[in-house]
Amino acid sequence: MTLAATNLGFGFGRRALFSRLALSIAPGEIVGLIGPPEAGKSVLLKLLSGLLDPSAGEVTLDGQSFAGKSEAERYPLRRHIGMLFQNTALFDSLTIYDNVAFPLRALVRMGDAIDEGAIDRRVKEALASVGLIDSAHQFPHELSGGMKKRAGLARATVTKPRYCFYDEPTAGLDPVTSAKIYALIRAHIERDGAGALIISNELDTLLPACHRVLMLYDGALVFSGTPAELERASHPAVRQFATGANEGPL
Amino acid sequence: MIALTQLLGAQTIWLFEQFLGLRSLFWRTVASLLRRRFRRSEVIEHAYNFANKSLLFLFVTMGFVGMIMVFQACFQAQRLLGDMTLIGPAFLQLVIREFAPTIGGLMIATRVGAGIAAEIGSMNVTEQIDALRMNGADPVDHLVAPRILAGVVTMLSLGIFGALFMFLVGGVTAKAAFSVPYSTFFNMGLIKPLDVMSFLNKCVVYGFVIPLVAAHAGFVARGGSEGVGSATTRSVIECSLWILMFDLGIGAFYFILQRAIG
Repeated sequence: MTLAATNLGFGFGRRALFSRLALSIAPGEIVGLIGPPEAGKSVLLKLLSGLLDPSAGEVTLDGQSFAGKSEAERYPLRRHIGMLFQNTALFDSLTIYDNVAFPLRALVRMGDAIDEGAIDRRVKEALASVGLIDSAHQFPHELSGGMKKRAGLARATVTKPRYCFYDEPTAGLDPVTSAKIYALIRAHIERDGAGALIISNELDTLLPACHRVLMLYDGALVFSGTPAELERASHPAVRQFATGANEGPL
Repeated sequence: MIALTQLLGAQTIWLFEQFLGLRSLFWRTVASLLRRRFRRSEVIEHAYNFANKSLLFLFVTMGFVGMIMVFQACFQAQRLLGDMTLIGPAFLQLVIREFAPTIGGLMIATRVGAGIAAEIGSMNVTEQIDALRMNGADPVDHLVAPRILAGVVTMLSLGIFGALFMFLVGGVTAKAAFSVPYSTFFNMGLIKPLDVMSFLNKCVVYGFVIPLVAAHAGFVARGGSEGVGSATTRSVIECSLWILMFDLGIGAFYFILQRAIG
């Protein structure tokens, strides 16, 4: 099952954010997406998950496109994708337990045969894997930033999706918590053989975790290669971004 | 001149887009209500929150408006006619036709509509609505349909209680300030079935429109807390405008119907 985007275009009003983007993520592959602010990284993530419609091109999952499908018709594709949102997007009115149970209950609504006992077991497993079993009955506003990220991770992976998107998983976190978050992401990928796309500009923690890195700049993917190739990139914006130099096009 | 034309054109396009968005949300909500994919417990919870928390606010407003209106009406009637026998029945007719549903609607738009816009707007800017969609939950089923049913129940119940309270306060004011006997004031002789139908019709329409417009304002909120603030303001303004437009439309419809029936 491969996730692929071809000839992807998107814009806000008359302003084109990017055009003719093409990328694919294979199962078990961890891809890092970097780029300056407002390059459209989060928008690309939403296009890949069918939350936004591209102005051109299409996104396919295992050959099936999101294009032309209603919200209800998209869910059979979307259920294979987990998403950790930039600010976690935990539901304020639900406890951490119910937040993590939410995707499983959605599967039940869609006809999957999962009984409440199985839901309970899987939620507890997911919470235990991120070290939040004791916080199950707390509400999101009672947790710290790092705990919210871990709860978001548990919710994103509880259904064992084939792909997982992580939007700035370590933004605003201390180095120790960041390392823990990446360890959890790697554990999920290794356990479930899922593909992952991680948006982050914290290269110190992102690059060791990735098999491949993409850089989005000025409406195009200007780099695609291994983390080792990043600093040797010929594109001046990529080189500047990788080295953090003051001089350059950025 | 060109800049002004561009501005007017952009505003017209924006208004048209907003109207299309609202229309789309309306049909999606109707479909959701027909499919019955919302949870009943949420309807009850929202209805309790909307009605219970608005009751005091509504009664205070209705009470003051009732007092002022009856005082002014009695004062003018005493000065010009010297006869106040029709004050009570005419006031009740006005309460049922206009004051209770419309002033009640405007108050609910302020109290409940603003709350809905802020809640959904906040969910929108924090990506909780995207998270709902990622998890196979239609935001209209989860957020709009239960609030609309709760809005209709709230508007009907608060409209009835508000009308009764306003009439009661009016009667007490007329008795205290102008010695109008209760038996003269509390007279329902002018009320016709069409007046009651108009009242119920307005309550149902406002109860539907307020959550719908407020939810739409929340869904189109952008940015952070500033976007949520704008959505709240926008919701109150748009709900008020829609209420006044429907007030005119429904009022005119029943006026024509009354004439036709004779």
